[in-house]
Amino acid sequence: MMTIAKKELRGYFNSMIGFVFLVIMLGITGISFALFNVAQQYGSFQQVLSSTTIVYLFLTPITTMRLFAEEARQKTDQMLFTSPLSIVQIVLGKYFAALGLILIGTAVTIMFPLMIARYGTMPTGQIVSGYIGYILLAACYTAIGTFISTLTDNQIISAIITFVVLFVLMIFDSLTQVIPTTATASFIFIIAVALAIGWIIYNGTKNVFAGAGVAAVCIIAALVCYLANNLLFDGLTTKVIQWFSIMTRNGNFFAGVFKISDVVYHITFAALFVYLTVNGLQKRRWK
Amino acid sequence: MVEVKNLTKRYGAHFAVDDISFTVDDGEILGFLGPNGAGKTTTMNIMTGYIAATSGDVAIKGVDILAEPEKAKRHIGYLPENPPVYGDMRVDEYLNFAADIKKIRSADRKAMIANIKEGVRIEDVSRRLIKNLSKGYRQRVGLAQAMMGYPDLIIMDEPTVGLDPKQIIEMRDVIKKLGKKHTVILSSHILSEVSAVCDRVMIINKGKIVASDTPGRLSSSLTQGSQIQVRIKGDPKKVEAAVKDFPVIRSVKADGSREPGTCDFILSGDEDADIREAVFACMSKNSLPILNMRAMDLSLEEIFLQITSSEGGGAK
Repeated sequence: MMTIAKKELRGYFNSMIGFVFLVIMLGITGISFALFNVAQQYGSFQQVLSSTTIVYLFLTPITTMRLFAEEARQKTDQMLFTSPLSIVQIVLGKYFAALGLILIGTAVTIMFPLMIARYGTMPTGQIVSGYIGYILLAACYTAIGTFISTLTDNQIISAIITFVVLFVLMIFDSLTQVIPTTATASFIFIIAVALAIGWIIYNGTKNVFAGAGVAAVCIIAALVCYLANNLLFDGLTTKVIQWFSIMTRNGNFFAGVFKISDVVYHITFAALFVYLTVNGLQKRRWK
Repeated sequence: MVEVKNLTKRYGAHFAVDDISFTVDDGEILGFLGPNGAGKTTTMNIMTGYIAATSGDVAIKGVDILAEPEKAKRHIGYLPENPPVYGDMRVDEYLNFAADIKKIRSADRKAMIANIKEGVRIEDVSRRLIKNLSKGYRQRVGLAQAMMGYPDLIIMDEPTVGLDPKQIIEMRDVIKKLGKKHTVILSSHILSEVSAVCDRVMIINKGKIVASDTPGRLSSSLTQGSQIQVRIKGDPKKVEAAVKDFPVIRSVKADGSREPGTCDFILSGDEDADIREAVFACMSKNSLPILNMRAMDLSLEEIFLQITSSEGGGAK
């Protein structure tokens, strides 16, 4: 794992991408810091941190686009996948390299709150909470980008799809204002989710019964609930979307609300996409 | 060393590899031969664990490549058709990376890299960026990567494609040298190359093995009877008449005229019969000077064409 991570990190700085990334990331954070904290003498750095997470939208695709797409195009993946390294090691190596690049940038930004701290007392708890949110968001986005990079052998396409997906994730919350909230609509939504879960299980295990079984159980359970008390389904879609919204949960960290459940959510989210990456690559080696 | 059983790879309705089985012994140099799209690369990709077969098994030293990939892959060095080199690395950096992913202990590493670089003759480009190297050097750097860790089995997909004639000869020497210590499987559609280096040739066409034997036996098994080609100065009619007195010479076939005043013939006798002396006696009796005489073994090119053009092929 370390071998791959080392190689990827070196690759970033051999190919300018690393420098471009750091310049943009630190440039934007620095400018925000200068505008809000210095020029307007606004004391809260976590607000700056929060507003700069929008940069991830186009920074993450830059760091993750090449991970697997470029290997596939150059056919160098043949060397990796025929070496005694396991796919998990390769994926984790690449994932942590991309995340590591972001962490390098993040480490540099710590100087900003330290500067503010000289002129007053630093709200250490809030800053730390903000940074945890900042890093966890990067972990989730990087996992998505890594996964998408395995789907194509074209870096540009990989970057664009990643950007679009991250963008949709960001505006996910606003969806709640336009979707219907009736019980029936929610019921249909639940069925769709059950089918999707069944399909994912089938895809992961290649077992038709497992996939169909899980989907059937979910649908039957939903149907029973719906017939028993359809008030339960009122506005359920909205609630589910809000529960799943990464932006709502991530925003908590910057608002100074530190919940373990949010941490667990982020880690699960990232782990899911890393798992999908490993699974997708492994499947090419299945009968 | 390698055991391949009933290997099949299907893409939709198309069979890239269709139920092939073979074994490779320790220390053997095996050549896959076949036209483009015959399934050579697919077979190699499956054997190295890069892709999975639709059905069938591959065992390297008794270890199944899909059941225990990490263990099986330790025994394999693979040089794919496009050398899997990173353009933005220097040669030394790349070889160190290769040693890393092949889990070479750092104590052995320096000596191993130096030794391999000497073997494939890339010492003089150690500090150069791979993207600036010529195709020949890249190919050799790719080979160096495959040799890293001295795996028991080295698989090379079209190792000489894109090299100039001098580099091809050098590459052949390297492969021959490798064959002394390792089991080598290589593929090619250039036949002279296969016959020059391989102990055994397997001809693959449309996903099936159509012939498998030593290069020598392959050519003799396909030559019907003993045939010789002669060039004779004189009248063709006189030659045909002269031959009639010698029943050992079963048939005579005119083969055109390539030099003024001469004509070429293909003479054939019974299988295993040596008709060269009879031909000499016959021609000297009729004062027809023999300018050329050579045995007509089918060259591998001809075998190849004969086998791959006839469906299924007869020589097994």
